[in-house]
Amino acid sequence: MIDIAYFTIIGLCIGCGYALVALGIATLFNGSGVLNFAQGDIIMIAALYVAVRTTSGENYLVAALEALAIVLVVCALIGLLFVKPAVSRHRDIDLIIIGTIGISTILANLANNVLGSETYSLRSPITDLAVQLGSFTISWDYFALVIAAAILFAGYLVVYKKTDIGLQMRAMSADVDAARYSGVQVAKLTVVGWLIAGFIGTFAGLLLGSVLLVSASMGVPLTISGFAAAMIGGLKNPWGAVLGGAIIGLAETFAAGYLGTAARQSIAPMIIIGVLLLLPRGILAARGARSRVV
Amino acid sequence: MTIDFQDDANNPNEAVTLVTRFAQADAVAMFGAHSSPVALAQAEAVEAAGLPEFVFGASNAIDNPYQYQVNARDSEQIKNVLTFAEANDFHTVAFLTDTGAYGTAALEQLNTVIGESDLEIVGSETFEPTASNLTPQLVALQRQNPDFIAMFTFGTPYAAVVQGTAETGWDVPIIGNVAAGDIAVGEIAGEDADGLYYMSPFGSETDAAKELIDAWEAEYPDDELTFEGAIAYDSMSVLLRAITEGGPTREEVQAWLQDAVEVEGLASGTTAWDVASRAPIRAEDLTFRLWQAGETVEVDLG
Repeated sequence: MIDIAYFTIIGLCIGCGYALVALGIATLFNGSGVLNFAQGDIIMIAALYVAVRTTSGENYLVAALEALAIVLVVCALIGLLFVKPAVSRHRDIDLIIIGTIGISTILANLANNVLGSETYSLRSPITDLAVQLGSFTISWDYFALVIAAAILFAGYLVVYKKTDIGLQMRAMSADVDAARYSGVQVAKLTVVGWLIAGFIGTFAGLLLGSVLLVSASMGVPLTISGFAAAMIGGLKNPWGAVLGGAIIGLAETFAAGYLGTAARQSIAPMIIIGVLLLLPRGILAARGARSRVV
Repeated sequence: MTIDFQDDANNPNEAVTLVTRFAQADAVAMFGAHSSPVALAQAEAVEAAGLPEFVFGASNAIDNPYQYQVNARDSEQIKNVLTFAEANDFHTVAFLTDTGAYGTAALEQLNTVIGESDLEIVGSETFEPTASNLTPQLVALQRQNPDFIAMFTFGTPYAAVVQGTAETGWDVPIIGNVAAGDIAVGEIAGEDADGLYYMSPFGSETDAAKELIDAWEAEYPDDELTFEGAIAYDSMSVLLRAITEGGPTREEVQAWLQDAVEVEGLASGTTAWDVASRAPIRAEDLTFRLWQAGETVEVDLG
């Protein structure tokens, strides 16, 4: 019974991490229509940078702030890279999406060369604080994922629903041309979307890095899990990312504990395929929402 | 002699490309793959080039005539799992192996060698080679209540498993293969690695080993000699003998290595190396070591 309680807590906490990955993906999708396949690598840069710096003796908070600055600069540069296709009246969104796959590869290779190919265990200031559940010891790093995810979601919802930037993002998400004719600055909003994704990605990196091993190759698996989480609830619904993250985290943890590794590895890809085939708008899609069809 | 150092980044595609590069540069031999999956990927390329390769990878699946394993093969290491069990009066074992090419081949060997012994196999779990969190697998094995776990993989999963035992509060002895002595395990897991046993092909009991340790300490006082370093040194010594006694061409080196069944005076292991049969380090040549406070110490199982 304690096993089940342990798996449930760990699965939900890691699921909150996946939800943060999904939120970063959904943010950019809602802000510019771009599906960002580099989100996992943005998270990786933050985690790996802090792991490398703290291993060499730097203060965690200083390293985290440096990581935030680096990630925001990287995201601003990527955003500027996509400004021209974004403002183009003939933009091909599919090419931009494929471009993010290229960005993912470049970021992974850069991290490998600049930060190294070693694997790290990122120790946060609260790593040694733990809760006892029977014989199990659960670090506060896991619970920090839940708390931080809740705060970031609340902040995101405020920005998305209550601010002018959020209104412009929603307009651009619905129809880029209509948004442009209505006065939305598409170029500026594209960069803002990448910056918000980078901000969320940095926190996701710091938090997930404390419960997973950190290396330059951790980005792609995170992207896959994040996409699966985002697709469960529907990319346009931030709450869907929460639900999706929880489902993926629980399913992966229980599958590894009771069904084996092959089942665990299949969870995220199977969910992506299942949602694409059966619920292309996601479980929580708004009534009447349209799928993008080709 | 000119030595060309290149990094394959443990990437099979990169490693195969490097075989071509070395072959075209007229290399007489190659000190190659650290991991078995990379060695297996290179097999066809080294044979096509006629380029002898000294391979660190331990998998029994490696059987190309141009690849000479210089580490203890899995089958030899697994014999020592039995020694470990006998010394501790353990009767049941569970396996933890990765789902990559190395772990899959090692699991086959574990089932074969241990399946024929009196030791009862009560559980077996696998994980991805890049796994970060092995607590679900550990909880699954804990339900089977083995006396100890035999873990065969390479790299950071050893750090993940000891972090997992700390998290689950399960005080179970774990014995790993030679890769569990990787310094990265201690760097990542810190004191969580305490209690992890592994085997090492390099001890300090032979004259050649003592001589190498002394020479190393004089040259590199701030860096400890690792078993990989000792094996690399021995492999180079074997190549120099092949060139001196066999001849300076690739073909002559290969011909000499094919007959090298008793190379004496090397620092790794305690008996003569049987390079030709891929058995330079046998079960009886391996020493047991244990992680303690972020360092490793040699242990006598009695």
